Amino acid sequence: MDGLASTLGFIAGFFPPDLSPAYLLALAGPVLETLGMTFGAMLLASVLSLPVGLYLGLGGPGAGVVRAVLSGVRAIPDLTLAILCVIFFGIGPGAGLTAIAVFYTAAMSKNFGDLFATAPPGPVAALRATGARPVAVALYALVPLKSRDLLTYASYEVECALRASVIIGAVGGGGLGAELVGTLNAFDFQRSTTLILVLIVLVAAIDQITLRLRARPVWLLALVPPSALALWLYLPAAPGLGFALQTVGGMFPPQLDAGDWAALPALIWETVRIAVLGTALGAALALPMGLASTRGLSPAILAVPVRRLLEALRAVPEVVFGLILVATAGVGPTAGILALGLHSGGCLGRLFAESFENVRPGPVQAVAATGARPLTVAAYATAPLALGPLAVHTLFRLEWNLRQATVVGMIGAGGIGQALFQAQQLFFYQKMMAYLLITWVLVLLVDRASAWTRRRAGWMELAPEEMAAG
Amino acid sequence: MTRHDRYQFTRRGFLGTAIAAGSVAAAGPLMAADTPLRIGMVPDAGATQVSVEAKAPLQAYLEKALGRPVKLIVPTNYNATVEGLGNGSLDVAYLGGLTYVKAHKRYGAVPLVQRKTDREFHSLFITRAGSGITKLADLKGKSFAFGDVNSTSGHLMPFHAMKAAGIDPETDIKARFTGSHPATIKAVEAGVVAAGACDETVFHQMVKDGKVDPAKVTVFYTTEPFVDYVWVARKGLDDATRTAIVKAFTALTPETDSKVLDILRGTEFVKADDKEYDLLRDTAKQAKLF
Amino acid sequence: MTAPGVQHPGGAPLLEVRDLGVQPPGAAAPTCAGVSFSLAPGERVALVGPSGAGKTTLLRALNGSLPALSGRIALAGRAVDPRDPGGLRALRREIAVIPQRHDLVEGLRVSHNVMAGALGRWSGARALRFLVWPRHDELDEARAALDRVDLGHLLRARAGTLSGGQQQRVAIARALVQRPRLILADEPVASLDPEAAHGVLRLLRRLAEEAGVALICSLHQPDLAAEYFPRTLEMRDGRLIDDRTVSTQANSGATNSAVPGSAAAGAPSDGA
Repeated sequence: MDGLASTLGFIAGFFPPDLSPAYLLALAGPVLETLGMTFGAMLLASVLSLPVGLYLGLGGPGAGVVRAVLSGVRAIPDLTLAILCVIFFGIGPGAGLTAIAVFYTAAMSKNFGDLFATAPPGPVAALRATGARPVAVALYALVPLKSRDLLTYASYEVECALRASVIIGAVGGGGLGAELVGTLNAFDFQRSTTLILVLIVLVAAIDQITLRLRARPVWLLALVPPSALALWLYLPAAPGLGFALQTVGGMFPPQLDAGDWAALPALIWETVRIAVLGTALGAALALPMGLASTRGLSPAILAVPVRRLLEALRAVPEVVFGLILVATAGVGPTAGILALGLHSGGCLGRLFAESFENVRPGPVQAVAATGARPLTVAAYATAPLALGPLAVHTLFRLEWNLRQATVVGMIGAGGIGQALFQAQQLFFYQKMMAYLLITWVLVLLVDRASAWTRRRAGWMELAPEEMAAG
Repeated sequence: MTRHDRYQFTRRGFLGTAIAAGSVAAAGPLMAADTPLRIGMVPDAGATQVSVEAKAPLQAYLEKALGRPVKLIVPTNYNATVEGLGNGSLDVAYLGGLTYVKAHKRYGAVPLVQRKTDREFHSLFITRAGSGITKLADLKGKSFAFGDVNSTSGHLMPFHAMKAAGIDPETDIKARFTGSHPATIKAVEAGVVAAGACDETVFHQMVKDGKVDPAKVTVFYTTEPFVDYVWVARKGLDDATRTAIVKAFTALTPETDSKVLDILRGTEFVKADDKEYDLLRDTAKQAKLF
Repeated sequence: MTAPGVQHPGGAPLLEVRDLGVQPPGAAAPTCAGVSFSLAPGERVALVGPSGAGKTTLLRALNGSLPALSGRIALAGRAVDPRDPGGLRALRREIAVIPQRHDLVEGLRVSHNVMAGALGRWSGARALRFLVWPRHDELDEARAALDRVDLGHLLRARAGTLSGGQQQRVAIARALVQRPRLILADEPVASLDPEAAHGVLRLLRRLAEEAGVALICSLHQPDLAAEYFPRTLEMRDGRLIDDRTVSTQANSGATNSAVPGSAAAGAPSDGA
């Protein structure tokens, strides 16, 4: 690389995007495939996770075990799940749909359970006192009491699932992701830009639609027939299952040779480094952008464009940034750090802005009353007051990024993710399973540590979109 | 991956099959002549709609020769193709030497045909003109692009050649996998990496098509010959279909089928045999890739 | 009609309020209407009245936190107008506010909270630098201001660890650092016990006298107003209904209840 000139050359290579009608028309197929995968999977996941969530919420026998299993599934990076599904079911949207359905069933069941558990105890107890069966309690108390929360949370999950379906496409799941990898590998960057724009527009559209649906949830039903159709079209045929079991059998016992063990600490360290530095970069980007987009602090002429920029950064998943950076800037942790940093910057920027908007107004007014400039008011009042929420959001993002560091590792950023992907690609499935288990334990440990820290510090609950893990 | 393979092994695929069966009424000489034959290609740089459409003449030729519909599926990596032979989502696949020996071992894949050139294949080491790299020893400390990790000409044989020249690819160079030969060539041309290794036929085809400037990208080393690509059938594919495929490929001649042969980057096809791959198996084991 | 209860020892008034009407955002009707008065440099005035009388609205309008619906406010001849942010910032440097609840930034140190009073005259770069790297002379200034409220020893404490009375004193120190010509104190003793309340008011009186700063202090308790302030403005239902100057020597109230605006707007005190 010739440094800056080459980097700028690459950036220039992405413009202008290929917006020719022929290409946009050709994208209809992949777009439909991605949407079909997302909505088919989410229909399946919703149908499966509502009863499981209710069971957890009502604390049925063995709920703790179920919860642990669900947390376990959730801790598997989505890209790994997708790769397994491609192995089991073959290339195409069927594999992608299955991966998304599994991941989101686990995630939504657990979070539905948590939401039901926070239902006001009064009405539930009253209904129980009448001798009603658990099903009746669920239908007459829990679901109506929490329907708004469920919808809010589920709508964030749909947005996440859409991004996930693009990522999954990149490893053989079909749709926009496959197109994106194809264009990047062919150095057809102008079309890559088109695809990213399409993704941003899709996410924005889903965001708008879900926003309206939250106001009129009945319209959700309109989504059911197309989702069911997509499910019917893409759901892989059962024969894959026998093969899947056989293949999974071949992954046990997990095994690493002496050399792999020796290299393991360095791999884990690299992954942790990508996660920590990526989060730090994200927070560093989010602070000024969050301030610049805070209502009441920043003028609309600045706030509105910054908010759009944050939306765009959020709409592009880490892996997509990673694919672009790996293709242009080369492999290595730097690409991973930048990829995590850019997406995290978008997510944290919005959460930071909300935190700034929610600070106690008194001290802010008191500092503003001294005649201080807006930037100074932000530095002396708004930012220090929002420090607590900012820390919670950043900590959660770090936890999330540890998982994503594995995933961007798989596409070439290094660390344990890359080792896992290489073992998988070379059919060393026992080795792959060993790396997968190590990653999984790592993620679970960090999840626990983070939850413990939050509880100890008495920090507030997560925002719905954070529950939705995006 | 593309709109083509959306039809395969999905419910709609079965539905479409049923309708087709009613209208076409099984005209061909083969069993199950109405179900599409699903063919997995090698990972390609532009695994997009456009690249599949560029392969339309090949698809049309095979459909005509086999008397049944053919779906071409371009994967994002070799692993998916091999697993496709195992999980039954592919009937036929175009594999490299290394992936063939893996598919043969794992799923009993049967070799069918290969280009004559595949028996004496070479990998090319390429670099940007004026990079100062003229021999393998110069690669020390440089960034380097392999293709797919499972590629014979894009990884295994260049890896082997470097080892023989005293360069340890795992420590002496900054290696990366681009996923495909065209991507490697493009990465070298763009200067993302100092050098790379690729399939000779892909390089020459890209030069011929004007997709890479030979004044910008130069070959500085060519490996010893080895055996590479092969078309294979999944274990359970019926004999009649296998024979028909062999016949379809060996019947290709430059006089009448130049478009198809261009896509396949070859001139003449011959029957393939598992025994040819014994040496490659050893090399792969030495490199810890098998 | 001349402004009521005004002594103009130095000629021009410091603050001039004419027929002021203010309607806070979200309020159904103006919570402050037809208010006129003026204030001489260095003058100390108590603003009394029951809750909801419009005292806080008036004070917030005086420093431009709320826009005027009608009428005008001028500080040393310059209009206080929120629609002109640059001009307003310049004016706000001259007006220090001591808020009702001790609105300190709890995550920051006392030194930062005190020197926040200087932000109006500091450049943005200096303000940011002071957060991470305070200079000795700046800290000395903060300590001097804290010494005047007897809290010099708390310079490096976190604001969140202070008691209510201490926080109120820090807010006063912040106002001193601002070197204002006018201090607006909004119920500065509302959340304090009687002893602390007397302490704070004594302090405010002393500091205002020493620095020659004008002071408007809203209070709940008329007795405190009478004890510490030579002049009292009384509000009810958004209107100024009384403006009396107490002769401190005679310790008896000379009332002047002719308030402009109240006549125009009808009976102000029927408690509607």
